[in-house]
Amino acid sequence: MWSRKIILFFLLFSTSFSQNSISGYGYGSLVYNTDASSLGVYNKLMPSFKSNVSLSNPSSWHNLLFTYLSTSVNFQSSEIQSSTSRNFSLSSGKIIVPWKQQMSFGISIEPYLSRQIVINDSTLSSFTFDDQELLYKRMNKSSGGPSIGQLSFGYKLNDVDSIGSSFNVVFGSSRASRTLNLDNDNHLLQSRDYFSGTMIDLFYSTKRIEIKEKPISLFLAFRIPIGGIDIENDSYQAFIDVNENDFHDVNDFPDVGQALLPLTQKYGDELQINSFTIGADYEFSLRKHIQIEFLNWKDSGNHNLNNSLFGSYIDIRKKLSVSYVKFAQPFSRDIYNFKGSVFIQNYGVKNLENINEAGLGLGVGINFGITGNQMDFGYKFSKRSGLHLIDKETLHMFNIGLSIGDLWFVKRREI
Amino acid sequence: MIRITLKSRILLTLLLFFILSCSEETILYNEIEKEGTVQSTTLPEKNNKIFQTFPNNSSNSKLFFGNEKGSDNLFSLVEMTLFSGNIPPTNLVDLLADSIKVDSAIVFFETADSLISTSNLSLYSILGNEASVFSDSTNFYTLQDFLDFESNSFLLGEIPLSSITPDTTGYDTLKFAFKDQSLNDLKKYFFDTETYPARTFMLKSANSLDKLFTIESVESTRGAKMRVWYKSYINEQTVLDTFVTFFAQKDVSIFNPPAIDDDDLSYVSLNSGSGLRSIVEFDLSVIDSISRNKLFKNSNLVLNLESSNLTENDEFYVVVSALRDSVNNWNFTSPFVSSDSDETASDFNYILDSRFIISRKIENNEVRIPIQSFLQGYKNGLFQHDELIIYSAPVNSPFDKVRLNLNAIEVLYVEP
Repeated sequence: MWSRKIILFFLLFSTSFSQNSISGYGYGSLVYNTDASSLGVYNKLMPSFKSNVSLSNPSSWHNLLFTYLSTSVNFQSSEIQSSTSRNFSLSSGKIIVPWKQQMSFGISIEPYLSRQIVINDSTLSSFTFDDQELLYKRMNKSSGGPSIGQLSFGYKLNDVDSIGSSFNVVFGSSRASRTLNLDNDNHLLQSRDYFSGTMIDLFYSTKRIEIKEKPISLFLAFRIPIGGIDIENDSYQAFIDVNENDFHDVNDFPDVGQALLPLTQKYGDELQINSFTIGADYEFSLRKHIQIEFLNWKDSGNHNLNNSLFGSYIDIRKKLSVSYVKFAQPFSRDIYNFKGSVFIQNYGVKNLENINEAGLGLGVGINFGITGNQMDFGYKFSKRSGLHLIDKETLHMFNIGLSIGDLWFVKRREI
Repeated sequence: MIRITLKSRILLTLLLFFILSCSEETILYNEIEKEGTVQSTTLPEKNNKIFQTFPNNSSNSKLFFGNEKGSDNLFSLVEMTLFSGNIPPTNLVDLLADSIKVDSAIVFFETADSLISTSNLSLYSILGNEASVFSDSTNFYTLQDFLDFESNSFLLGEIPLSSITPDTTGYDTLKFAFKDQSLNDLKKYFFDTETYPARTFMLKSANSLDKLFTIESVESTRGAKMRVWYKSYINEQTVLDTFVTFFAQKDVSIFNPPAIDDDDLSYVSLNSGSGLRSIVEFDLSVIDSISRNKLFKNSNLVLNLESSNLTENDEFYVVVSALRDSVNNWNFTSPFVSSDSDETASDFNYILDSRFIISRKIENNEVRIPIQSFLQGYKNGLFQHDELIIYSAPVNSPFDKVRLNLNAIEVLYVEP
């Protein structure tokens, strides 16, 4: 009962995201590797949870022996120039139910885009009016972002091939606020974006290729938009926050009753995400794997609203990661999974300088219990360059995941 | 006993970690894009008019006597209650019954002023045939609409204004005492409300009073009172020896205000005694052209004092209000001077929009009135008209008159 309440709490709060500079581009930074088991390898398709299972790849789920409920939390530190920003957030909740090692289905909810960012003028500006010098400072802030709900299905075609698919629903909202502090008054301009869209993911896994009688597992995944992601933007009238509660009410100027109604505008197909991922996993020694994954991601959305903090958006993303994993031996005293990876990423930014990122990932998984429960710790360190206005950023990301296994759909023995 | 499992303990630890660690800090940038954040503009004057409206002095807390700043105080009218304030209420005319013997009466007025003068203050009874002989709209300009008060009155008494000095309460009392013949006159010309139903006193000072002198009006809660002592008889036996008190219920001062001359038309001229007001129209087209996210900040209507009859210690408040209707006739208009055949009541009786009324005091020969809420309201469609009416606040002396020069409005607006 306690566990159920805590899990519900985690699920409800799974839309709080972490802050980094890419959140200021477009509709926010894409949240990647939301489960702790895959952070250390920095890939999605290849096995990272168990020796033949990735929590993010439904075509591998039929290999699970138990039903798993998996949640993870995320801690991130971002160093920009001389300042550091730290955030803590819940990152995903997922339930995966295998059936007779033939098929599987799963439901998950996790953040999709993060717009969590606050930027400030570091110096005061001045304006002369009526022979008086007025000093002012601005703060731009955005928060929230859409989540993605997934309904996934995996199926084992034969001993070497399996397929999977996910139906993704993007939902939720983000908020933006621009604050001008002038004459000791805060002038606020607030807006809210509501996201809605659907996408489908297709997965394919095969073990048809062998080297030295050991199979190379190949994984393919496609993400295809069904209807694109539409955005409804509500723009509220600016006001002076007289009572400094960040909320437009009757004590503010203009009084909320005398303010203009929010301007609602709908933008269709603002985001059109296509991605292609290919990866290979080779077990070169017993339970020791070498993996490589390549991602090509593209956003061909309209981006007519263009209300990002930096006035531009990321339209192309490419990632290459190479990783090493040593898995635990099930039902033995060898209970540790060790993971390590290096990766490079390039973000193509529309009309602005491209962003390059290079980093490494480390991870440990601890198996416990008869049902293969697992506690995962993932760490990612990366450096970015080419960021708008600030150029360089250093990121530290730490993720903790807990996956609890249980037997479901097992007919109880009648006494 | 509650048994917490290992799984629950792990989940609780994670939850605690989440609650304790959640934080958000700001990323500092050298500067955010600055263009258009803070801007200023000027709103030029488009039209203006000086006009006269119906002066209304009945709400003043004082009744005025003497001559002041070019005004000539003619008289004040005070209407008393028909019934006394005692239980049971006594009608004025009841005091004339055969079984009643009125011993004496005193009419009281209170003043907060000090005065040493050779002038006298006279108390008259108005001999009208109507129950109500004046109203809030009675003033110098409308006297012809009412009874000729000075010809239809009877002198009841007179007191000298030789030594008026407020006591420790801050007030001195002016008493008109009635006994013998003067009491008979009071009974005949004031108590007999069947013959003279007006029950209204007229107070008038002698012409030699060249200083301003005031007494408290009904609005100050220290208005006039009349106390009557009487005995009641049954079968020639005294059964009651008491007094009753009647109170003022309505009053007004009638005075000839400062004259309106041609020079007044060249300025924003204000005087409540004569009903002199101004309306200014501004070119607000720039407001329509700026984006909806602009927010009006410091925006002042600045008026410089050109001339006035204010003395060193006088305070003068200027009121500015939005209008419910637009102005059609920009010429001088007055309800008392019929110069334009097309003139209608709406040309001098402008209705204020209560959503924007603001007043400020003239200080250092200048008055600055913040009008950003009017400009924001105009932008938000709350106000449809670009005119502002400017007038003298009711708290000002009705004799005070100012002429002001209008400057263009300097407006500061911002976009977060």
